[in-house]
Amino acid sequence: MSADSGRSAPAPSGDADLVRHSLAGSAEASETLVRRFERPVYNLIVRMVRNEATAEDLTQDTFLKMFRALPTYKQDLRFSSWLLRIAHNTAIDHLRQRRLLTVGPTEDDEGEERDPLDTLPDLDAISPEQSSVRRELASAVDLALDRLRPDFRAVVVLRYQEGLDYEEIAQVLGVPLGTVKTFLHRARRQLARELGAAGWGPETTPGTRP
Amino acid sequence: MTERFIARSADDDDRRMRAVFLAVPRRMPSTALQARLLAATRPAWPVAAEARDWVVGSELVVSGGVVIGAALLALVPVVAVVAAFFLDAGIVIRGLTHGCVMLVEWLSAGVSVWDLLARTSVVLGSALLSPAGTLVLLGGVLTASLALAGLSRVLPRQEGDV
Repeated sequence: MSADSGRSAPAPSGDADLVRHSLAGSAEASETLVRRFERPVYNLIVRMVRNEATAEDLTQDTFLKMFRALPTYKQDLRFSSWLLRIAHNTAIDHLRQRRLLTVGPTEDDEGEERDPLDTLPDLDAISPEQSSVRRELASAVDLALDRLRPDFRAVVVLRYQEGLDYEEIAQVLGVPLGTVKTFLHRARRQLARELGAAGWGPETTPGTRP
Repeated sequence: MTERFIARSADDDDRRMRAVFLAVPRRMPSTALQARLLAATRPAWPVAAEARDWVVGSELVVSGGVVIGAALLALVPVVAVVAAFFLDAGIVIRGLTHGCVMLVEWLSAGVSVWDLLARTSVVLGSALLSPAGTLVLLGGVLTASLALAGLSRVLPRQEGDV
């Protein structure tokens, strides 16, 4: 995975080479590692801590920890996953120190008559040309994401923005695979409910959006 | 839209949410962050083996110089006394004895301790102003400078390790 790759595109083969060259003392490789992973690391952290200045500080901490731990990196884990795990742990430590790791509102699926995921907007009904609608949707998703618990936010970002599979997310978060699936399931439902409450129902089209 | 009316799986939910997130861009850092990251992490970047060896070697030289200089400054008087003792023990013993006797006599005669300290200071001051004393003083300054140079190389790295 790289900052410029697609959401679910496989990792460029260059990551392992970059790590090897960086460890051999190549300043160019070290610099490329920073440039390549700055955005995904920042994106994960800023989603978790919800403060841009703090996220930049924690991004710096993450890269410092990464370079110090680089000699211990083992290639049984993708480099991007390993780095995102450092970023996640750094953000979690910050939230714990600030006592911000509170459990947000969680939904109780029982007794719910309608599946909240039915309220997800139908992106197929919105043409690519209708960029203003997409911008509004992005803004609504941003707001809905902010209302999730930090661990739910992390799992959603890793899955849908960084394109990690379930196994990789479990490795990044350090939780069992089943927990990842549960987190994702609940996060999706809560996101769908928030989006539905914001007026992004399945019938959303440019003409019907409130 | 028909997919709403058929039984969905987690994969369907996943696909639909993925489609929603296609509209959501990553949060972008400020343009200054990259330069800041490069500057802040550069001291922590791995260095080539030759460079690492050179750094370790130069630090060893500086540390060794400091230790040897400090040891010399501390040991020279002791070595001088011990050497004199082996060359002519009588001189050393007589000198020590006379010194003790003079000290006792002075104190018994009512010489104040402050007066003794003042005289000693004057003697030490004039010794330092002598060519040999100046040489010792310069040696001390040089040793301290080397120690500071060594510390300035080591301290930033420790700060980065926190």
